[in-house]
Amino acid sequence: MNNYFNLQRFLQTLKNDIIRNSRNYLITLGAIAGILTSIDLLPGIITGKTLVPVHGYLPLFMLMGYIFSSLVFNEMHDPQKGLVFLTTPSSSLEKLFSKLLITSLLYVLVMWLFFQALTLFLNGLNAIFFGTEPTRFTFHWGIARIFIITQSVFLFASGYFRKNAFLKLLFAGFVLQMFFSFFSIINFKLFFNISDFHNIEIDALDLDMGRMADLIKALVYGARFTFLWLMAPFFWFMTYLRIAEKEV
Amino acid sequence: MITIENLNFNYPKQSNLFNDLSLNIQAGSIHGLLGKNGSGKTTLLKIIAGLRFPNKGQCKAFGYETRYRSPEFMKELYFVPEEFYTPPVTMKQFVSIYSKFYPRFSTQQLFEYLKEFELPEDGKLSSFSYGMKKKFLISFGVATNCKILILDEPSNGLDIPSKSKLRRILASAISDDRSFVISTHQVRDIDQLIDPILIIEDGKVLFNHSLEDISKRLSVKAMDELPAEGVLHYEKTLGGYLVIQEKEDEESLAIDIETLFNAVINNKEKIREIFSDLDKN
Repeated sequence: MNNYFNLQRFLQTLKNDIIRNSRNYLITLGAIAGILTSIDLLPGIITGKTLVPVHGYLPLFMLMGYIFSSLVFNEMHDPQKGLVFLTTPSSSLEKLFSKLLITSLLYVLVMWLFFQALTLFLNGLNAIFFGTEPTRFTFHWGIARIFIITQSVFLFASGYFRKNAFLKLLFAGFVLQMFFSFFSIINFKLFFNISDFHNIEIDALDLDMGRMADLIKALVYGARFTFLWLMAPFFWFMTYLRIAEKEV
Repeated sequence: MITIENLNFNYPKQSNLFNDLSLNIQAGSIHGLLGKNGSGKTTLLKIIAGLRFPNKGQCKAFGYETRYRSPEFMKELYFVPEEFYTPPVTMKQFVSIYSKFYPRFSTQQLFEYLKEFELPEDGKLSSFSYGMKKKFLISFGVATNCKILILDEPSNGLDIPSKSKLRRILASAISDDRSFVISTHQVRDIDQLIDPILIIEDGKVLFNHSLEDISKRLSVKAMDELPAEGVLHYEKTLGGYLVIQEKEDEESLAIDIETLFNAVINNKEKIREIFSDLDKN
């Protein structure tokens, strides 16, 4: 039997993860439903008019997804839970795929169904109590793609940091951004010999705008390609290494 | 079954816990792993289970290097640690989640063990006491029928009747192709169950011999007076002394593991000398 990936073992690992996470999943969805229902009903009670708060769905979808991804490997860092997790007879790849699936594709699917059901429910409530017209909710699948790419960073953070992965990642991101901003400014200053950033005279820089445009195009294309096709696999691979090398 | 060769291990910023430790664990026995506090018993068990990686040397189980936690190896190993975690599920859910990973898992055996331990067949694991959870995990581990069963302090937290039941279950479940490794300080709880006896000290295997070999080379005698020489270890009793000596005649009481442990720890050189012919083999 393949020691890296076996479909039967993977499905068993996935079932294991779903059963053990379903309670938290349901509690979180219940809490979101409660908050959104309150946001929907309160204006109606006060003013007699209300609309389903569909504009709040997207931020909630992203935020909850990132937090969920940041927590998914918590068990691996706990000595007792980690022992169960690491001695369960499935490969590191199967363990990663299972966690990846429940925090990305399955999460998107569950949230899509949840938002559709909630919109239907709230539209019904609004029609009965306030006589308002139904609000339409459209899920932007492009956003789901962006989410799946960006959540890979949170998944990696969950495997890497022992505690508070979400906050530590935000902090690490902030520090990195500061570092790169500082680094870019220094380079820019040295390259163009600029001493005063508030009074840059573009004409004085003697730039070849045609070549600059090509360079910027290439940079944008490179950044786009890296983001869409390389970033997520890179962080998935790093997370895999973290699982394979984890000791408890 | 398990081969450890020239193993070195240390925790970060600490001196070596194991120095060139080599060990062979054969199938068909219940190995008793003994040692003082901090001698590395639990760490050794974790290395065998692939949860800790050696700095040097290797640990292999039926050809698989344990540190890679290959599923083909992990399905043949079950580890019941001293401090454990049980997920917030019912017993039946636990069995449904984890049993599928172990190809020879027997539900019938599990129910027999649960009955023996007087545990219910179902119930929320989170509502169980520490001892009940431990009995459930031991029952599950034995019922997996995996080749290596590791038990760290299995009798800790068990009530008095359960300790003899534990001995009965383990004795009935051992077979020629299975090996149990039990680490414990409560040696009286597993007396007459473990064979061979493995003692680790100062990062090495100090003693690794079967009860048969021990009984051929050491004798335990109850004496009124302490002999002038040849005493490896003695313990004061109500009527005199319990003395361990190198065997010279056939007369001997059954060897008590706690007394043997003290004899080995306090007379390392002499014991090594007595068992030297076996160590060479």
